[in-house]
Amino acid sequence: MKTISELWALDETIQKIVEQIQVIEEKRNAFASIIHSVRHSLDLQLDLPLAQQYIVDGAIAHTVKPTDLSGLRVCGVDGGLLKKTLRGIELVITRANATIFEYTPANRVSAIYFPEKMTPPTIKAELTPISWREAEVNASLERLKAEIELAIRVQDHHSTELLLLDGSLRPHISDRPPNKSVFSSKYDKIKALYEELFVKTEETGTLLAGVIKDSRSQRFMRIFGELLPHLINRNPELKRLLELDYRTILKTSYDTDFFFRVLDVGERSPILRLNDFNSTSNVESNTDTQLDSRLVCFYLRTAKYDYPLCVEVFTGSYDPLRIIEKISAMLLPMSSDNEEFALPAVLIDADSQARLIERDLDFLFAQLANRIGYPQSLLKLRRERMPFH
Amino acid sequence: MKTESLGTIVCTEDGPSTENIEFVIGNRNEISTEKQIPVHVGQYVSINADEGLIIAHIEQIYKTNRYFSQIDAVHEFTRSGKAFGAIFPIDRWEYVLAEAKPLGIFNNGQVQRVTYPPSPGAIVSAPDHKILSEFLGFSKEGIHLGHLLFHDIPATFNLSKMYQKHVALLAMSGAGKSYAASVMLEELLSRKPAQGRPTILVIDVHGEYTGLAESQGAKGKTFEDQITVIRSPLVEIATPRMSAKAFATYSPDMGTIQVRELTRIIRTLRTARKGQPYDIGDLTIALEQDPSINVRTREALLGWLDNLQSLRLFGKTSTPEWSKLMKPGQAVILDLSETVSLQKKQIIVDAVLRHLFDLRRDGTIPPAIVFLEEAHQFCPEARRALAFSKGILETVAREGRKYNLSLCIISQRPVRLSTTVLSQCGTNIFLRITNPYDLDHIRATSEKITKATLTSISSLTVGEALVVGQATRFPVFIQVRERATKETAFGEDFETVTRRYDKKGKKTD
Repeated sequence: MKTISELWALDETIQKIVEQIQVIEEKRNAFASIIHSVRHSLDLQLDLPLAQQYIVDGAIAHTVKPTDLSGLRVCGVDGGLLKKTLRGIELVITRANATIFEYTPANRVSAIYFPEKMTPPTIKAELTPISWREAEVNASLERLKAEIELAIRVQDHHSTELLLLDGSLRPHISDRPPNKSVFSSKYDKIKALYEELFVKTEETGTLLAGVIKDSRSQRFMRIFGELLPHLINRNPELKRLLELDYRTILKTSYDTDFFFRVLDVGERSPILRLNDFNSTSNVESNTDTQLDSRLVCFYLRTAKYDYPLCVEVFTGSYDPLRIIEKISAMLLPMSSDNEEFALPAVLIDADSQARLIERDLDFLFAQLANRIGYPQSLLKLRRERMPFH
Repeated sequence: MKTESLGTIVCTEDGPSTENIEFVIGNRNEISTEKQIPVHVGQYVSINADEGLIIAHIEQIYKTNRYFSQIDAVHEFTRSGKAFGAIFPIDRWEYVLAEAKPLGIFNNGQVQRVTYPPSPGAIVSAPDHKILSEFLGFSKEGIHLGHLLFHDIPATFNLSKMYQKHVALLAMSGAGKSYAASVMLEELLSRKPAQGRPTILVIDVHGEYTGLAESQGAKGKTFEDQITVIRSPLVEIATPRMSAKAFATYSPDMGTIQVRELTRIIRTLRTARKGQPYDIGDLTIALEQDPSINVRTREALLGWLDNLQSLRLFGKTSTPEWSKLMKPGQAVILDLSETVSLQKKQIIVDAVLRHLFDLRRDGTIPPAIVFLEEAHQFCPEARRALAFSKGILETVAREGRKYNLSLCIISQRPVRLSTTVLSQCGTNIFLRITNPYDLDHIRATSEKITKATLTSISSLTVGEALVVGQATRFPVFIQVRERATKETAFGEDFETVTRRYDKKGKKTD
């Protein structure tokens, strides 16, 4: 009788995956080690339209000088989401929460929670027939709406030096509803809310940044790929790259893969402008191009065994370099306490606050059923009612 | 009635039930800033429930904090060398959860069993003092031993409930047994005639209680007029009161033929003396002159009598005259500290107790309480031959209640105490005990001791006591009050005594 390993051809399959990983890792390492050696000296600000358009400062790596957090107030905003699809109704539960950390001179962190420590969730029910994709978009938009509205509102109640959003400062491309969707107006409203948030932070003098936990962006890889032939020509030490299939490496790497290898802990990447980035990113463009031009991003390596943070920043009317210096100097000490997990502590706390658990959804469903029984609208999907499961 | 809210009952896998409730302590911030501890293990709480007011006892307190629930996360974040509180607002997420055992329902002065649990969300409060005092069975008058731990409530026990069925005061050495016993004695001696005053005998092995009789007490209190101290060298046992069986008790190898012959000799001597007292010397002469006794029997009896004579305990009359000393509101301290021989001490205790038992049985003396220090020396669990006094102590333990002769046995080794005596003690007062064998023995001899209570006994601090049994409806933790009389040198610490001795030496040099 064959074993499960034999039936599944497990050994061969796993060996194949291992070899693929080894090949790609070796290539990435080889590529990165060359770049790493010139990371401080390589000047990306070439006299090329692409470089001028996207690169704010020259070198691949910049050493960040951490600031003393004592006396600073930092706000983190996060949102939680749960969705349940029933036969005739889409239930969406969201909870947005702001955590404000105050770093006291006594080396303690005190916290304020807004609107409250145990914020009740917001429940929405969508009864209009919608597609699967629209259901996903609707749920995501509800969370974004809750988060951005709260980020605006919290500034009326609490003054902080830095406001951190968990996620991008723009809606993700997947949040855009399909054409003629019933949620198009909701989407437009959210884009308007982002604009309102940017204006609000300028009014209150608060620095605004979005920290993307698991960025899959290849923006820098694409720009770098365009610039690299010019850089190789100008820098003899990069000639060795020609021996590698560097174009494939660039195409198959996320920005965070690259910067994990190239940046040391306490270093940041060059600053990238986000204007007109539809072609190079997964995030949506804002309708207001003037505001787009004030968005930048950078990568910050804060932990030895974790990949760098992807940080988007609204620079407003200020010099992006100065703003990024200030923000990275704050983010570094508040994200480097765990060698294996890089995220600002305030966002870790905000995540715990906003998180919703399945039990909340079950409770809501039970409450509905208690009132009206189990009409067709409340029938669970067949996939959830499969016999023998 | 305004009560202080302490927390809210939460749902757990097992509760709330009639056996167990858990509640989350409220207002952590206030606690944190004021550095107050809101509840303690051993404290009582009340809950307004469907059946009435539930009184519960806090058995465990837990703390929880989401920031410390994942070992790996805590480890990684602390590796940075920063204090955890400098990274996260840990104070905001610390919750205190208390586990309490519902003891009963208090309804119009009556205590009933809890048959229906309180609801989740019910408020847990600090109980009203008057209600708690009544619930626990404290008395307005009686033996005021101190106050209920964590509550400003006097711990006053009804005299009858406490002493009707004997008391065991058990603790390891240095935990405050003698101190607590002295407090009890102060209370008993302070009683007014209208309240009923027992007479007291303190069998004081180390001379620790003589301070009670000294005129200068810590608070100017003295009982010198009510206390007579009898030093053991002055004690004499009346030989005419001794039967042959009594002699046999002190000479365990004596056989039935010897007992029979000695009985005959004693009877003959009593007839010849016509009521006049005699001593062991007289008995020896009578034995030597008896013509009918077998030579071997005579020699054996002479040997045993000679042994007893050498103890210098037996005289013609009883000294002191116990019936005159044992008066209401009076105490006799029998100071055995000058007697080294354990055998001799046991004989004294045996003889005195037998005499008191008789005196009490015929009503010659008032109801009496006997405080017996180092009780394990006088009524050990080991076989009778090793302790002459074990028999009478077990008799008093079993039958003393009928004659209002009560024991207060005091011991640091409960495991070596006679199970018969210990199990007859209706009230147990425990101070700190840590020896596991002693704890097991206590558990085996008292059905009111739960595992949790047993654990508490080992964590009591000096001066804290647990009272269990007849004197109270439920086990209560008390802080023994300060004594009003002078503490003897035994209460002083090693360093103080050493210093004084050194000073004395310098003067003589």
